[in-house]
Amino acid sequence: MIELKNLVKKYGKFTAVENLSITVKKGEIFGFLGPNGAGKTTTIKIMTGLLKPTSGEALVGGFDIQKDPVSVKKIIGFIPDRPYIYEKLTGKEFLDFIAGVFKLDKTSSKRKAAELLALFEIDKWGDELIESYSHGMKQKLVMASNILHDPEIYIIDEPMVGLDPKSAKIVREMFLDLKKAGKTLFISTHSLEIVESLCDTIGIIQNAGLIAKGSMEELRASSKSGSRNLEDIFLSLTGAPDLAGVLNYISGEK
Amino acid sequence: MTADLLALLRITSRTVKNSFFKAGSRGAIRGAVLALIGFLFLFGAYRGLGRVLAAFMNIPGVGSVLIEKLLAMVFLTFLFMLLFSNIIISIATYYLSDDMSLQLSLPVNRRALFLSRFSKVTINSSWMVFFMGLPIFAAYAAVLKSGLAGFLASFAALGLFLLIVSSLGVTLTVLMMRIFPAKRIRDFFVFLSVAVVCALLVFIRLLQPEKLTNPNEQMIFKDFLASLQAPSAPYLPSFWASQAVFGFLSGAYFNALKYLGFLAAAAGVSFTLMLSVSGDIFLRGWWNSAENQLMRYRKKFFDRIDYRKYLGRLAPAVREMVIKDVLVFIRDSTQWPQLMIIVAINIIYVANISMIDLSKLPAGYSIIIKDVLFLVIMGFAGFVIASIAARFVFSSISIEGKSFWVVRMAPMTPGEFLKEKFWINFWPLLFLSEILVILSAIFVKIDIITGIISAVMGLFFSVCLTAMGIGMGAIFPKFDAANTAEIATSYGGILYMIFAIGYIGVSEFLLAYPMHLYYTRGIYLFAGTESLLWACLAVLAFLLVQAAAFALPMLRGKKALERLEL
Ligand SMILES: Nc1ncnc2c1ncn2[C@@H]1O[C@H](COP(=O)(O)OP(=O)(O)OP(=O)(O)O)[C@@H](O)[C@H]1O
Ligand SMILES: [Mg+2]
Repeated sequence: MIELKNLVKKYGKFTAVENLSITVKKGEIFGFLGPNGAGKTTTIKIMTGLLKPTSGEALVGGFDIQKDPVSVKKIIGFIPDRPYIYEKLTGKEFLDFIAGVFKLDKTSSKRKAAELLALFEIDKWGDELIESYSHGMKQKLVMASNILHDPEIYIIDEPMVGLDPKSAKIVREMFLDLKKAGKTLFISTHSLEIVESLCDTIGIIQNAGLIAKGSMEELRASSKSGSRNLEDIFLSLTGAPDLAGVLNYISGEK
Repeated sequence: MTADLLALLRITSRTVKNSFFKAGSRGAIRGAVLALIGFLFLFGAYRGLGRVLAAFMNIPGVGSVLIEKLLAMVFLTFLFMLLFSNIIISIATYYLSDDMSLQLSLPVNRRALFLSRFSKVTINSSWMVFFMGLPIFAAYAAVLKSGLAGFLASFAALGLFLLIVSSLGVTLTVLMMRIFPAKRIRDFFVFLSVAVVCALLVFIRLLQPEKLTNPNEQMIFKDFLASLQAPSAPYLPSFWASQAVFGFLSGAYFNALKYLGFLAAAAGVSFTLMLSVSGDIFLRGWWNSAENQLMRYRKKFFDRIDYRKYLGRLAPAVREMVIKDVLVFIRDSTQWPQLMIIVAINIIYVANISMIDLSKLPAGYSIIIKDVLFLVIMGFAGFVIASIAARFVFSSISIEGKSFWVVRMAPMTPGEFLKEKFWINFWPLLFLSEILVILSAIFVKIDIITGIISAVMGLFFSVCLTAMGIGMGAIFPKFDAANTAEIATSYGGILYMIFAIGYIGVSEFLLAYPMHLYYTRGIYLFAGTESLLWACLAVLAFLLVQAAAFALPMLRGKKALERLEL
């Protein structure tokens, strides 16, 4: 469903994504991990057509995002890391907007929108302007708007940031439901727990390049340390933090 | 306090410096292009205005009075535009900016914080007017044959004028935010615009335009002169500034110094007034607005309209974009003062136009005056349309702001998106420009043919200025602007304004000869062949310019959107 071939993205001289190739099959949940600034958001923006790759290509649902962006956009849903949406619309109006843009049937989309708002527990805020929403509420509204138009492929950048525990649980259940319904999910996240429990395949990116790829078992098998959990694998691959230094700094010792 | 103020100002200057150097060589090129085009524009404005002033001076008896009036009119227009842009920018700078809460939590002097933002507001709202002073004062200096000293002294008057208006604008904003909760600013603006319209109407009555329309009869000519010389709004700082400037440039130094004194005193008073609201009153207003962000939204009249019912025939994606644009526009309180600017500019424009009545002018000048008037009216109308387009049409893409990704993710091509933006901006602009043009035609009593030509030009202006606004808005988007005023004064916005004025100038220049031919020959237009050929060529060139001004920006804009990275 998703095929990234030798993607390269340069900002001037700086390389944010270097020769990245990833394949995600239909019905799979792909977990995209990596330290801050590794190039996850950049990759996702290329897949969704928000950025142009310096070289390489991205096929989504069989269509090339560069050559046929509209066909891709019809079948993907995108949840960005920062949920900027029209502050001067109300939540319901935003969902109406999405329904109209994706040419959904009016009556059934109205019903579905109401259900989604209720599911995410923002139905009380449906008639409020989005500018008065909290970060997590906006995030949930963006998710609702994506599920509303029922795409084949979900591309999600850090879904759990800012969500309360209950909402996070709802979102997790939803990912599983979407997978059951045959949807493909590409999730970039820092939540190792999500990746460990949900993802079929995991890719770890560091300094613009992919350093590990495979299922949880494959990663375990290939890990030198032989560690069992993802955190250890992740840290052994990307480098462990200098905790002693942090402690010293806080306690004022040099 | 001074140290705090300097530290705060340094943040701003660093931000500007960093964003300038981050852009690297591209930034340098942009800067050079802007400087060059800006220079060409200022020079062109100087030459153009010089011509018009010289033409006025050739009208015996009233020339110098007329150009004095014109200057007063320019300053009055400045006054209103500045007042509103100061209000918009200070709302954004004091109340809507993200780093305000950070700075308020720092142990810095409150007054220093207030003043650092004040300097930002003043510079942002006033620098364009300051630069416009260059060609205007230079043209007046040339026509009135004044020296360099008078020219430089004029800028002292202009500077004080700018200071007065920005202090008043900030004071007004602070008081307003203290009294009105943030969510009700719109109501405040509606109220304020009604008040301004009423004030302007009274003001126009005081001018007694009908008195000015009878200069052809010898007896009344003296009255006409006297009425022209009577000060039009003697209590407004715009009048003092125009008097001071005209005095400096025409050698009436005593008068100039007197009005400069008025300006200095007024600047002192308004600045002190502003300082007096910069403490507790400001802080309470700020809390007020911060809390009100969480107030419940009350449905208004506009929210109850079922737009989908009326727009049923549009393609769904276009329809949704239209509805979204309309709702966002209505609810954005920073748009309301902009609408007021339009209302105020239009009233000033119409009021001034209504003083001219061609049918009553002395017969001897009629051709020259018709030539000049056609150009001046269409030029001014064009300028008004362009400045409105800069605020609304040009900014209509940037105004999508950080939410632009939503549009990018929608299954819609950049072409379709631009088409929607074109149509939603074109109709209001056409409506407005035809009102302007037709009102001018009626007030000035121009003949029916010129009237029809003006109306057709109004149509061309609306089509092309919309296309240029949309296209250039797509080429130079500014998605991180804090407010709409900032978009209009960004690099692309200034470039747009300059191109728009250039386009209007070229269009008029090309039609000037055919129109002249028509005025000299009347219906015997088809008499000579050679001049007619030239006229036809000119009209053809005019049409080509229109086609280019429509197609080029739209195509380039589409390309730019396809390439755009977020
Ligand atoms: N517009 C830009 N210009 C220059 N460099 C950029 C730009 N956007 C991102 N970068 C750089 O590209 C690199 C990758 O950024 P990216 O946002 O993809 O990281 P990320 O993996 O999403 O990190 P995080 O986990 O913090 O979200 C970073 O080093 C960043 O500084
Ligand atoms: Mg990221």
